[in-house]
Amino acid sequence: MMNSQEEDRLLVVRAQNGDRLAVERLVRKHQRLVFSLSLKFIGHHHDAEEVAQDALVKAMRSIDRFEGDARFSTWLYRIVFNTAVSFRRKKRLPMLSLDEPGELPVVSDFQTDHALHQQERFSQLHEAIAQLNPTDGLLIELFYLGEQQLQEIEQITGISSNTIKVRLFRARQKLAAILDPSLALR
Amino acid sequence: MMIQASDQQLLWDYLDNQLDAKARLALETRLAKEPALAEQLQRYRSVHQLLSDDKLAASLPENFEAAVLAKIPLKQQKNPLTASSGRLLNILMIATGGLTGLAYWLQQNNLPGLNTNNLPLPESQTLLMSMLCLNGFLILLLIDRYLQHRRWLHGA
Repeated sequence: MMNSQEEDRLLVVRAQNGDRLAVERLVRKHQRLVFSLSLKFIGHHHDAEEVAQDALVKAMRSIDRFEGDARFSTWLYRIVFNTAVSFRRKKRLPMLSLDEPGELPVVSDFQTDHALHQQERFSQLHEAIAQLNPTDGLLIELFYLGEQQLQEIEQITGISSNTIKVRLFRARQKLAAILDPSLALR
Repeated sequence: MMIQASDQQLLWDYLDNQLDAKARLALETRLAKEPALAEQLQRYRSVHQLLSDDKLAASLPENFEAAVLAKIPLKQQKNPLTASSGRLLNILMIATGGLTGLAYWLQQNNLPGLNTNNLPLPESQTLLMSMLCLNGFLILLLIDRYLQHRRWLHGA
């Protein structure tokens, strides 16, 4: 069975040859994460929608410039990142801080029961990620949902791999402490 | 029992498949001997599973996909600057510019380069002017191509 990366590669070649269906499949496949990342970058639902749409349209229009020297997803997320940075600059929004580690989130409001329904755990996790420093939330999404390697996240965000690793560790520790407060004591 | 930060990092790396075979084996040996470490791994594993689930991604706004696809033209157009006609234009520009410069240099230095065809001076000036005009025309074409490129890039 074809893996996700191979599927992307084939779809990109078809899209570069003007295959509309391949373009649609690429959009369909990546749109959710593109929007999710945009939301992390921008923080506001309506603006994130604009940024995500803009990034996807830009990517699909310039797909013949994708040369395959990186993964398609890495190339696409880089476009999302650049589009979001331009948007923030245009709207005079403060840039994401790449150095501040962020405050520790409050853990007291969360339940400790391990038998919580999965959906409830997800909503807890959503809330927990929302409490992270926006850059940490973004790194978590790129690493886990985007399945990007540290070097690829470095290409996308410009943050060094070592810093990413440290930030991911801190972010996971915070999330673990929120979802399982007994871990905060260790 | 307190788990050291370096061990915590090791556990996350283990779950994220960031360890090489040797390091994995070493950790697995430790896990068999250190129940506290194994317990911590189980706790991290439940968080890790949640983090790796694509349900974590935000839900799409309504009609998002349709809005994106509507902005992408039905027929994918080639980038006007990198399409073959764009490349030809760039090559022509450089070639004509080079020839114009050469003609100008020959004329300025009174060299017989333009007289190889036995052209008298006024005619060589006419030739030079023609080449300058051609170059100007190509520059206009190139500007038009760049404007097309900008429109193409911004989806107009």
